Amino acid sequence: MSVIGIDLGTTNSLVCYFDGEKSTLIPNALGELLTPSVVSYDDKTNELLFGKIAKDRLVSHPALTAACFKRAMGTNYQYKLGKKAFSAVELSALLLKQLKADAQAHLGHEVSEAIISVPAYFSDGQRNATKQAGQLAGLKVSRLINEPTAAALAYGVIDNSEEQMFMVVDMGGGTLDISILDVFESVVEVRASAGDNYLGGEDFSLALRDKFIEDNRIKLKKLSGADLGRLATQIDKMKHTLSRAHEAEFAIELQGKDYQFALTRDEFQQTIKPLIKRFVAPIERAMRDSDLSPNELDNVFLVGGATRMPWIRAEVSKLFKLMPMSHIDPDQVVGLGTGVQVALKNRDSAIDDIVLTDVCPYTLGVSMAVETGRNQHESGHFLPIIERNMTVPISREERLYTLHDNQTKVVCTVYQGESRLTKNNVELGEVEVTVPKAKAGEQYVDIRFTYDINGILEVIVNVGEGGETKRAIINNGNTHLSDAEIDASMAKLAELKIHPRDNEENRQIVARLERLYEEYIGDHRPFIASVLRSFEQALNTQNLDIIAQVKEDTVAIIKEYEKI
Amino acid sequence: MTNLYWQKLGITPTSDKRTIKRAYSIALKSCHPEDDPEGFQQLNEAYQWALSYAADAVAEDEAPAPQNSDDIPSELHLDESSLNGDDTGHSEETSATIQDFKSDTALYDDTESNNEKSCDIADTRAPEGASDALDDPTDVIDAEHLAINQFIRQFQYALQEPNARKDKRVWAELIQTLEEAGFSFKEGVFFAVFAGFIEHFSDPDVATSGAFIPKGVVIEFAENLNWKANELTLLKTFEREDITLVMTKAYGHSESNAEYEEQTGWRRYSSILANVAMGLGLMIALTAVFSYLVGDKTQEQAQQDNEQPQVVDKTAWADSLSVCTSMSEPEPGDALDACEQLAVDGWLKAQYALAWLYSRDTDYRDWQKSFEYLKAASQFDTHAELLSQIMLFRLGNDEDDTISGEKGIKALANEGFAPAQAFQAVMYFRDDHVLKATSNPVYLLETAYKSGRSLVTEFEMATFYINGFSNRSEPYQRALNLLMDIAKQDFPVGTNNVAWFLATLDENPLTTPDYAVELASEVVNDPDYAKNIAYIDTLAATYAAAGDFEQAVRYQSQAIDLINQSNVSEQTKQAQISSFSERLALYEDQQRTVEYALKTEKQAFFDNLNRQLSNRLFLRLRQLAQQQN
Repeated sequence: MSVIGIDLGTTNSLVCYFDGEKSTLIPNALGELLTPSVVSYDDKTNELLFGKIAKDRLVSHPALTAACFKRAMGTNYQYKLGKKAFSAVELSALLLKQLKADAQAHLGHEVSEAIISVPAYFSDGQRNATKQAGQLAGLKVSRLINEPTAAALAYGVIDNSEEQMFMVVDMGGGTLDISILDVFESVVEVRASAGDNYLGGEDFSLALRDKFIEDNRIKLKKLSGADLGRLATQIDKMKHTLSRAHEAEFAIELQGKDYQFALTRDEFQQTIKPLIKRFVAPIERAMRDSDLSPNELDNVFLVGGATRMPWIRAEVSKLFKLMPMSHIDPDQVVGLGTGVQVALKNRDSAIDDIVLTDVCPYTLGVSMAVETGRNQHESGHFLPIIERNMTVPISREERLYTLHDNQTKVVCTVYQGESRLTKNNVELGEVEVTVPKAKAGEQYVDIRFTYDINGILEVIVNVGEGGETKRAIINNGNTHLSDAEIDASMAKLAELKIHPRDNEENRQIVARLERLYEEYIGDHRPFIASVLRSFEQALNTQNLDIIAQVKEDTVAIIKEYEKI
Repeated sequence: MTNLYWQKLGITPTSDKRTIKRAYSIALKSCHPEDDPEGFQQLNEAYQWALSYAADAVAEDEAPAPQNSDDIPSELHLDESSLNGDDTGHSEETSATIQDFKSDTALYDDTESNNEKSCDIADTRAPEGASDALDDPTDVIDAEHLAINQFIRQFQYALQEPNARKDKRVWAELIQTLEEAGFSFKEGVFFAVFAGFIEHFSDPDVATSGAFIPKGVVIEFAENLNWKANELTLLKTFEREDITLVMTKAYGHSESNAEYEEQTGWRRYSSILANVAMGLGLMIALTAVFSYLVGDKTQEQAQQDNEQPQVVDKTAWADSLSVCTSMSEPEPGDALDACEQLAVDGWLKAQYALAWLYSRDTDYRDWQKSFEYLKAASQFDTHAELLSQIMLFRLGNDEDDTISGEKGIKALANEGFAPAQAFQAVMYFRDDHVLKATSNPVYLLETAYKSGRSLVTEFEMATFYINGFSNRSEPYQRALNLLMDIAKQDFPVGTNNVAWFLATLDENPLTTPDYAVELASEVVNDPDYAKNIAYIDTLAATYAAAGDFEQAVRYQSQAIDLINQSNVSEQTKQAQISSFSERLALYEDQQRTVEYALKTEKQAFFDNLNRQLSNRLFLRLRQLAQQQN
């Protein structure tokens, strides 16, 4: 039995293990460390496809392919892949299953337990959804670890540097996470974390796409799924080019019309100005919460593919007057960190003495009424019990009194959020207790919140003077699956055929050719179609020699095209 | 207690952070967060406490000399003259307020000393000479420190000088500075800005000064300083109601918990029905806001609250206020003096009452006074704010006032405040505006109507459609749909009113007379309302309209019998009987009763609606004044 670490990302996922000395990434069937978090359904063969193959099918078969589903974690949103519908939990489970298979193939033995990283900003509901995805994939999720914490772990341990205070800026495809860590004397202490659940690389691509659409006066609704897929590929390419060069351009044919689009880096940064503002806000919040002044920070580490954008370095230098570091590949940091956590969990000898303390990312509390005048009360006010960025595990209690004479029950509605009014916060659940009749203010309840290291909240309401006690584990409402639902989901997923790993590479070649066919026009199309046909014929012979021969030529052709 | 903390860490009291951290890391081995959550929490508490103890000790040892406040004034005068231009008369006043402010912003000074402290630590850590290679951090901090001071001074100046306060450019400059500022700058001004706004918005003199911060300024501060995400931080320093006040100024009424209460009233038979409805409405409003919980942080605090005298809430009802609500006109005398004193002392309900009294058509009508009380009350009530803007617009001294009033009305309408939308619509229909029309008046009026019929009645709306003022297609059908909706939804009051309206319209091209009979019968057939004279009166009128005078006479006589049997005062009885008998005579003469005219002149209609809207707003103030909750 062995434990693996998984970075389940919005755009890419990674698997990692601890080899006894250091954290090591595990390659997938294609020999790559990054597996795109995309799931596609092949309606011809009734098979599910993952990773790069599936990503290529985003262009050729958008209706059968799902990406970015991490964003819908903890919601009831249903992704349609052809006629089948999946929740984000189920899609994540399918992907995890594939990652688990990759790890087992590489390690040569059974894997049954995993540590999965989640954005620090994930709510309890989203955390539970992630755990359930693991469960559906046949993995015992022994621990969820905050992504920035994992990143810091990768940096902290790998550098093995002395006492330092640093900030991790983690912007991946879909989320932005800011963490401030204090590392000293083999303690990794998270001082504060903040973030934006809906800001990531994809948003910058969307902003770029919107500019293209607007400048060319194209109606988004008129574009087909395939058009959008091709456009997204070009836009992503342009975004990446703008990180290296000062200008970029592309040409594309949409609905029979040719379009040109050129942009300089300055223009791009002008376009994304509102997003830059959103980027800075959580950084400032984390600084305030940690009670630090900017010159107390020793380092800022950039994590996540989206931090390759040059303006981020500029913005960070402006804020802290120091150059951010990114010497570990920003795409791999979190994955490597989960591997370190695996070692910590096992109390592996190499890093036996490191203790990690984390914080609660949200303020948690209950609703209450406040007095606004004599005998006049206003409900809907938020009473914080556990404040954001308090070190976890933590347990705190508040006492509340009855409002009316002869009141018979007290409803404690639990909220998370940062507004003083509960209507602006997220309702997590409620606990109702009965209280003995008495004059207003004579009876009280003690409400205890206990927040554990996995971000699970337990609420205990105790009615004063020997009254009843009620206890509840707060889950984010609709996202919680019952055991029966989990069984049903499991049965549903078990029915699906997963494509055998050994054919992975061939499948990917087909997918790449299909994508190229979509991307090119004119004379190229019949040529690509003929290459695809002959490759499929070779596959059908099932003669390994023939396949190998044709494959070589085909890959060479694909490489030629992808260079253009 | 404190000894226990040091015991937990296993060290003697020290101000050396590294010693504390080392002790913490050693102690952690024996209470690992995963194995011993409780022990860990206690250890962590001790650790956090020790760290802040160390920080305080360092700050005390090396407390910065109080030179900060000394090096400011000379620069301060420079700034003022540059802002003031040739007007130097204000500078004395301004510097005084800044002195006051300095003492208020201890928080800001704390932040500063934090900066210096941490800088000292950095110095002790770095080897000697190392700092020469870098920019000297103290220089950076000093420059920033000065910039922060200057910003706060300019901010205070903008708040306190009426001329600067209404000047968009002054604010734009401040906002731009914020937009370009780094983190520690924003941190440095964060509390001072919020405190400044609280003080400003709760100052009654500001409300009557006529110079307001331009719209959209407060929200820029809110966004740049990220108030929303830091609300709970603010809550640790400021009172809830103060936060609500400023947040409402920034984000509008969605930031407050109070909802716009709908009132029913201004109906036919208002003396009989409306009071009942109003009473009900009040009761619902009062009971609905209660929740099950009252929160007080700790038991000790709760006890403290009981022991200490309560802060007087001047927005609430007090028995002394009855002197205001018992008056029906502002006749000079002891009562008026007493009430005016209450208003000056800041009692909100006295201000409402006086604003209404001085607006009434009596010998003592005084628009100027009414306006002043409205201004004072407009901090707390949007109706008062709207009325004051309307007065400024209507009765202002010059064009500036008119424009300022119109802008105010527009801004409130843009915030979605229904009475302002209705008023703006009427302004446009009457062609009574200075600024360019930017909204569709038909849309505005329809939106306002949907927010509650107490503002614009269904009959006004129906008349509006029937006469084609809306330019919408099928005006009759629209009017009828609207009335039928009311008849269906608001049983019995609405049903009765619609029946009465249709039956007493001078001509009725909307429906057959039988429809009105149907509606009225439905009401009277309900045993709960079978003995209600108003409803029976309506039924009689509908029969008369349908030509069945025999039934009309029968029901009208029945109504009069009921009046005779009722226990109302003799005076009321006589008034009712005379009004009912008038109609009985008509029916006996084979004539129907006519109360409403189908066709109306556009000008007359909107003139009337204009008057009605102001009346209704003032009546709303009176209601607010009388609420004794």
